[in-house]
Amino acid sequence: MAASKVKQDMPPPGGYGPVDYRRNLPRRGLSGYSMFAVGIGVMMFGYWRLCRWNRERRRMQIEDLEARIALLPLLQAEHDRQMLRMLRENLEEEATLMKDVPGWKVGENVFHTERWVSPLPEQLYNLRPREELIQKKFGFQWYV
Amino acid sequence: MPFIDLQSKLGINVDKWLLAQSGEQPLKRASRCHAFEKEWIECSHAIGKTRASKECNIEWEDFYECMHRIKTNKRLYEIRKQKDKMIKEGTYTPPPHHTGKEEPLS
Repeated sequence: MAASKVKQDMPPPGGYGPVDYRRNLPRRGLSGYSMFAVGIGVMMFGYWRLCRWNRERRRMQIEDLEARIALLPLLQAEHDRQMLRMLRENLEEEATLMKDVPGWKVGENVFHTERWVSPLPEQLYNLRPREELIQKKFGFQWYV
Repeated sequence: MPFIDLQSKLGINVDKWLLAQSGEQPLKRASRCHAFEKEWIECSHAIGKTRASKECNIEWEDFYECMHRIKTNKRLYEIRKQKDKMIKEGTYTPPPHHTGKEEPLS
């Protein structure tokens, strides 16, 4: 090749500076035991807080239950009125429906006794659409 | 064993809760047919099966009806059948609270 001065990319005069090529794995951070300790400590703190809050929730739940106990006469009276109203409506509808059926006694008691027998949901919801009966029987189970 | 009341002697309750609905129940909750069963048992106690089937027939029928509700369901079915028949003929319209369009009761 001719010894012409072509512009090339050459190292700086005097060569490059020193390059640190040694392994660099600094020992830092907590040890394994202390990491476990920190984790378990945080968990214990969490459990303690949770336990305290759950006790508070249980006190609140007892308060709710006691409120319900205080209101039970009202709730029972309402429920009874509802039931009697539905039985009365069913009795009147039965009178209109079974007018022409021979040998039918309206409001006949299927039992020989005169005692009050709690009506079944089927009796209360007999003349209503089927969905209402299903809702009454299973709605609470399906509630989310 | 019939004359040795072993369960009371040992103070355990292995199957007394099973034998009758009217027996002692957990949480003291009465069964649905408690009264009927109690009446029937009190009527038919210690008189033997033949006499009980004759003398306690009314209590037995009420108890059976309470448990299985055969007569009740038959009555309800007859009423429903008649209602559907009359609706098809057009002689009957159900009142608004029976159509399902109103607010459902709780």
